[in-house]
Amino acid sequence: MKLWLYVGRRLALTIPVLLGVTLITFSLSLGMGDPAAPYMTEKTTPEQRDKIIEQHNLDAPLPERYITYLSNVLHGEWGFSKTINKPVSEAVKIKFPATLELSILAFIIAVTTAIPLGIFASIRHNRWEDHGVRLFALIGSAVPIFWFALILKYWFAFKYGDITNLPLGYRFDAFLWELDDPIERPTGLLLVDSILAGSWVHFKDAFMHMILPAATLGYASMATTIRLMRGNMLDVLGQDYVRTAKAKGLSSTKVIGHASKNAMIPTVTLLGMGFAGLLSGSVLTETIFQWPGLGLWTIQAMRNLDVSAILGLVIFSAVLTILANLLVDIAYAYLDPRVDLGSQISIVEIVIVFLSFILLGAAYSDLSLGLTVLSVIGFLAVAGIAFATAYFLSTVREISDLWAPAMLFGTAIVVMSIFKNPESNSEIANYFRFIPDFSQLVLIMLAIWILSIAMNWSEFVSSLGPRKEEWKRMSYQFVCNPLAVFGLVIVTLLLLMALFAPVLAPPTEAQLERDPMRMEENFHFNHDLQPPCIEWLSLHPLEGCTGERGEENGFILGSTNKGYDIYYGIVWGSRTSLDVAVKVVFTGTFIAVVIGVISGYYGGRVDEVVMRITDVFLAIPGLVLALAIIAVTNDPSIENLMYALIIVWWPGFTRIIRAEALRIRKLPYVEAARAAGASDFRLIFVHVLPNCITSIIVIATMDMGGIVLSLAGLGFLGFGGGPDLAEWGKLVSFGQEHLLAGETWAFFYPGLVIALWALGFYLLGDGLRDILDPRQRD
Amino acid sequence: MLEIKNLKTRFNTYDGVVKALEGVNLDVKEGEIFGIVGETGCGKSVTSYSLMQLLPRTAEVVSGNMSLDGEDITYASESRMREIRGGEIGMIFQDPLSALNPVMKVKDQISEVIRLHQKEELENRTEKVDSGNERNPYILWSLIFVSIVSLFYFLKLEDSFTDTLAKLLFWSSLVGYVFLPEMESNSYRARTAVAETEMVVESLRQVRLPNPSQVANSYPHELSGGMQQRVMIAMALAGRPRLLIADEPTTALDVTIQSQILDLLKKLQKETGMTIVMITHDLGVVAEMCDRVTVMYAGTVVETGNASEIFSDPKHPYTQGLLSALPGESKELSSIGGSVPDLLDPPSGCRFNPRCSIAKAHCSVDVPLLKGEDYKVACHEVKL
Repeated sequence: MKLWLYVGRRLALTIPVLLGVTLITFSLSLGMGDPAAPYMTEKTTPEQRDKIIEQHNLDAPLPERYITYLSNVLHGEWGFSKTINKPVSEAVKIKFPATLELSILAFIIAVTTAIPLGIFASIRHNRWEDHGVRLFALIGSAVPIFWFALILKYWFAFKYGDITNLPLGYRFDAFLWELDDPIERPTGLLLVDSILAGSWVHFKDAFMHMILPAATLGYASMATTIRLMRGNMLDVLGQDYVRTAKAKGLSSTKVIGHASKNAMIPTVTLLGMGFAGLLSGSVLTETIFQWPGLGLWTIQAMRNLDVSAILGLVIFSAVLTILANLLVDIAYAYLDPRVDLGSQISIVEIVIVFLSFILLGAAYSDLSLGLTVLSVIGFLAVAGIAFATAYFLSTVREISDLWAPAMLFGTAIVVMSIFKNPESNSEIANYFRFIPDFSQLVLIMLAIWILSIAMNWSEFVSSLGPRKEEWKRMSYQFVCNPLAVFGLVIVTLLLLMALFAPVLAPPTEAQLERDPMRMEENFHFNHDLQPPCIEWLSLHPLEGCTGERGEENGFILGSTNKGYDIYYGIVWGSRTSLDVAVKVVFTGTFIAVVIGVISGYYGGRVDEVVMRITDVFLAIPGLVLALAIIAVTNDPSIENLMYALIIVWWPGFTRIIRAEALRIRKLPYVEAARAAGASDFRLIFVHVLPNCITSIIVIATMDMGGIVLSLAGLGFLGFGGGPDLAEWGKLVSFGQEHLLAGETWAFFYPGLVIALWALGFYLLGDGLRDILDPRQRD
Repeated sequence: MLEIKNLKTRFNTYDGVVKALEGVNLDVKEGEIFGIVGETGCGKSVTSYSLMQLLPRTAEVVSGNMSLDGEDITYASESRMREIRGGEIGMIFQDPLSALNPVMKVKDQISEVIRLHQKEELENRTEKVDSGNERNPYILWSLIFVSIVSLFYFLKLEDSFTDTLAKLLFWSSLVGYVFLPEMESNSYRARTAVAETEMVVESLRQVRLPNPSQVANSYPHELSGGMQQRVMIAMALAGRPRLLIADEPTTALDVTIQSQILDLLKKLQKETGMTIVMITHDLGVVAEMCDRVTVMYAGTVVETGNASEIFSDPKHPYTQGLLSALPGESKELSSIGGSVPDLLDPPSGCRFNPRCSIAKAHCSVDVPLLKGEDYKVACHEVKL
């Protein structure tokens, strides 16, 4: 009975999240030029356009437009997709089964291999088997999915295609399915359909087409599951009840059974996230294998500015993710008998759900009713904020009580300093002239830090003694962890590469004058890829090697089709990656720490509202949201890309840090400090934050790798800054075009560097977690 | 019954080798309650984990000899150990909530032990179980209903989603018929389950749990601390072990619950005649429960003897110090000077010599051996 209440509550909570998603898509749609574009087909005449504008209230004030938009979404009028010449809602129905089938197979591959592997690694903790599995998992999450797909495609479908008989792409053999022997396809899932029709030939054909894309997708999501399962198992194996199980005389397999049951619980909770990851991954995988699903359609829509399709897809993928998370939550409640099913319902939650329910209902039934409800909600919101501010100000007694707003203000300055374009002369930019540039900001913070050390010099010196001991211990543990050392070496090398880029790949005079970050075209090599000048690097018999600068050493790693030097692109691309990663991680961490700690520490209503907002962002698969932001603003500059990446990444950060703060807040020593009369400020900065810092460092290190993977993914899809900016993902996409000519270097080397970058940071982060976590010491 | 000779266990840590046990000698006789007392970190629990081979991976038994009823189990194979654990030696742990698996029902955790160590009894009972030829009629009727409806659907409709669904339902209902006999209540598995539940409830009743069948169906976190510890005991006893090791069984409990649990253990010992090894730091518990006692200090045994003798006339200076640190009627409280030695670098000779009031020069050179027949003391200065 209680479980049903819980399910009902979870269902009710999805309504405000969905409403938030429509709010995001609506504001995205405002960023575009023609408001009527989503509803127009190619044959629309100007008169019909006027009619559309009138019908959808497109020239009305914003609230009215929003209500109309909401009503359209609810009634299934999602606009008209230019790319496939069908209404969006109908197109989704056609395209979805393909993606679903692929995702399910990938999911099955991932779960059935990852869980046993994770358990195996935890049993062999710190032996070579464990290191092997960990490396396998880390490579899986570090390798850019598009690069891995390209390698699989080249190796198994192209080079050894005669032996493996694997197709290069698409979902099925068109001759077989449409001409020779058409069968009924009631479900749209080809494997199921062929089983129902009882045709082995069709089943085999569909399966062969699925192997490579499913393996690609599966490997990527397998990696996270392995790492999670291994970590949880290690946790559980140290618990008392495992000792009890051993003392009962259970065989070791049974003991592992006991433990894995417990370890599965947290793993299951993240499978929902994994599903969102599959949707993101399918965008890239489907593009490479020409799989006719939602992902491929997304990319086509982005490239053609097919706005209605983009918005529709954002909503649809959000609905899918929400559903997956809902199922996972229910599974969690079912699996873990300790979960508290009912006590968390709060007034804020009820109010939020109730209001969004009313708004949805009103918008569905009538425009004016919806408007009334919206204005009431708006009034309530404004009144609530005013009331909260007044209440807060009335409680302020000292200036130091204002630390929370001060921190939020500081965060805003940091964020703005990153987006500040020093060359912009617009009126708005003038207002923000007081904000320092990012590099200045870092210098200022460094100065404050040094100053604070100088002011507490004696304290600092006295703290050095024990810290030295701590450092010794840490470095010992670090050396004991070969994978972490390996990661550190990779990261150091790549950072040195970024630092010494002008020495390693000297730009020409012309490039220096323009901008060394932009690659130089060599037009007389246009459409004629040059192989690498070092034979063993070419993976290809050497025919002739000429370079633009000096015939002897030419293009060390070959060239792309526009004559871009791949070596130059890789070296200077490291600066792009470093720039984006540092700025995004820095800002993201800053926002996340401030919001996460405040919301986790205070809990209650603040927390409730923050969590609902992050819910909305997390509901949309990251890559899809980033793509939508970039496509809709129609501005693929690198600043815009960072902006998109931060919007995508902060909710995840915030969630983790909030959970940490929430956990630490309840620990006995924080309670003790509170009982001793410490202020909130002191509790947060002395007790909560320093205890979060370990996880903050670890997550930030890992995300240095993750951000570059996302950046490369966007670059691969053609959204990586200007057309000639040195960026790794873009180089891979140039190489992709020549895959079937057997010219592998063009995609291989840039992808390898991306993988190394991500792997290095992942290994380092993983190692840091082991070292910094005092519980891991023995 | 249980004999431990010169047991030495080491932990390899970052800081060096911790000599946790340095020549422990124990001799537990059939049918007695034997106490092991000592401060935290003196090696009481490590002794029992060494015996059960439950030590963490960083630890190893370096030398020594442990025998159970004359059988040397120091280096017994893993399969033999599994028979011993739970079957011949049961174990109760300190914190019952963390020692019980949170996601398994009480009955599942207990029946595991029964299935492992009480196979014959279980089979005997299964033979006797006569549950008639009843099976849940609803299962069959609902299967038939599903088959008929789905058959009707896919014969009537063509080429649609519902048709596919109906086909799938039809075939899966056919598969359902295959498994139907398994669902009968007189199948062997069903009767075993009945017998198992019977035994679980019995074992819970044995530890005086009120309403045992309800407890059996609950998860550990739904029970109170005292009930959890009773479940632990029931689980340890379910395999009918002849030796029960209780590792600080009452430390995590309230005082009133403590005495209930101790009473229960005493009664159970009388009923079943098993041997109990009580590991505790609480001298009161020992005085109340035990026939014979061993006092441990820093990984060594310092004194062994009848509980009454040790309490009335302790010989070893450490035991004397311990007892005088207890609040009594007319004496003043005193404490032992100094602190427990660091086992990374223990003092040479007698490990107690830096804190001992009667230590002589040779105490820091020679390791004292346990001497005496029934009553043993490890001290150079004590004459028996």
